[in-house]
Amino acid sequence: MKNNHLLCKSITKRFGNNKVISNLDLSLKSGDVALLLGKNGAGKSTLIKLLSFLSLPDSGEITINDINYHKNDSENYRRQVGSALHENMLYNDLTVKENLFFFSKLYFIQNPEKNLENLIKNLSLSEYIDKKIRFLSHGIRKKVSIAKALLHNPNFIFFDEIESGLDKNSTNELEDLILEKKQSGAGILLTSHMIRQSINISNKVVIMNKGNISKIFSNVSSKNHKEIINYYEKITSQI
Amino acid sequence: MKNALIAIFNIVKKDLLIEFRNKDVILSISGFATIIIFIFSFAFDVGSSFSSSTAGGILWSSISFASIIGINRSFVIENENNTLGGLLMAPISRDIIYLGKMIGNFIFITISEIVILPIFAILFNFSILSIEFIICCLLANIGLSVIGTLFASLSIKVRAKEVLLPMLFLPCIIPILFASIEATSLIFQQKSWSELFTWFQIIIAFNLIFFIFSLFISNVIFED
Repeated sequence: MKNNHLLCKSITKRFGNNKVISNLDLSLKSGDVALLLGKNGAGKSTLIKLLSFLSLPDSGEITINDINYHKNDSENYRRQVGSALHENMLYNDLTVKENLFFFSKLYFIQNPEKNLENLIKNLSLSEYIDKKIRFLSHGIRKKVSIAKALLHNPNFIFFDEIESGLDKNSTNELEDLILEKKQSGAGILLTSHMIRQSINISNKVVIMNKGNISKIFSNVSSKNHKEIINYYEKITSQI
Repeated sequence: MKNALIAIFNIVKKDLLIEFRNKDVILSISGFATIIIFIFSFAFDVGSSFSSSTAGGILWSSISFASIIGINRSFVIENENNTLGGLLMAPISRDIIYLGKMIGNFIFITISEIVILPIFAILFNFSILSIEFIICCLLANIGLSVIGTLFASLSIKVRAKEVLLPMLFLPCIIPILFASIEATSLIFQQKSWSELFTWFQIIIAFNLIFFIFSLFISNVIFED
């Protein structure tokens, strides 16, 4: 079992005068599946972008095992994280296989075939492998972008509402994949609007409000699901 | 170093594969430049005494204007599904992304010239089959792709990118454009290497300045 620790220390992000993330602290360890909840505009997607290194915080630190990779050696940080966001980040004119091979090469994966084979099997993508992204449905594109995020076996995985557009079978496949990654020691942070379903695979729930964390539920189990959902519904109705 | 070369090679290979399939960039550069050359060939009385410097000016201004469309198109691909984000999340430095895109654009401009130059040679009655002219074209193409890729990557996230790219690109390529026109004119007049060399040196110097500057600021360009 891996023992990695990702830590956000007082991170702040502004867009113009609008403070989207404000002095946020968050911890994610190997084996964690943290569900990030919050209303639209709470700052969930911005936080995921900051963690994915698509955007840099204005202040604060993001460290893995106490090393602040944002200051130097950011390539090593990016090697340790994998993200699937709203946009699928795939080339429309390349096939599924070409897209996945292209990104494997950018991650310098030696012999990516075996890992790709597993991901393709787990996400039931075999029949689409030689089809161009342009001709695939939204749901299949989502699954390819999930495969892309997991190509390099990252230590930390960030999913931003990836279940949107996925049917029930695909959602189940995704949950199995998340649990498999959790078992292998990855730390996972996901945002979702399907709270009742996503909470079942999470051991931590983080509730965000106006760019900051309003409450963290650790040791989430079926016993406190109702309490968490009630709290979330109450706080979102107040906002 | 080996990893950097692998990443650059794969970015170029990916761009070439996409271009091979949809031919957007090469068709837009060669099509647009050919139309401009046709218009000028009708507008001017192209005879045996036609000025070689005017011919050079027509050639390089048409290639420069057409390159804007092509280079812009090569970045539109990266904007479609935010694939640029995919590149930025990969464990490669930003200058590798710049270099990959720049080499891709250089290849596209060079391939486009294979279509443009014979048409120009026929319409304006100048010989383009000389080592000097090939060197001149390659040097100018490096300049166009170095500066074009720099400003295309700068303007990719801007709302009015179609306006911003030519506004930044055209003033900056003026030294390279002037030197290329002068060199082309001298080549058409069959002047000696020593006369040409000054203009080649100017193109090389500007290429180097912009290349080093682009690598230096590539980290800033691609940040949010």
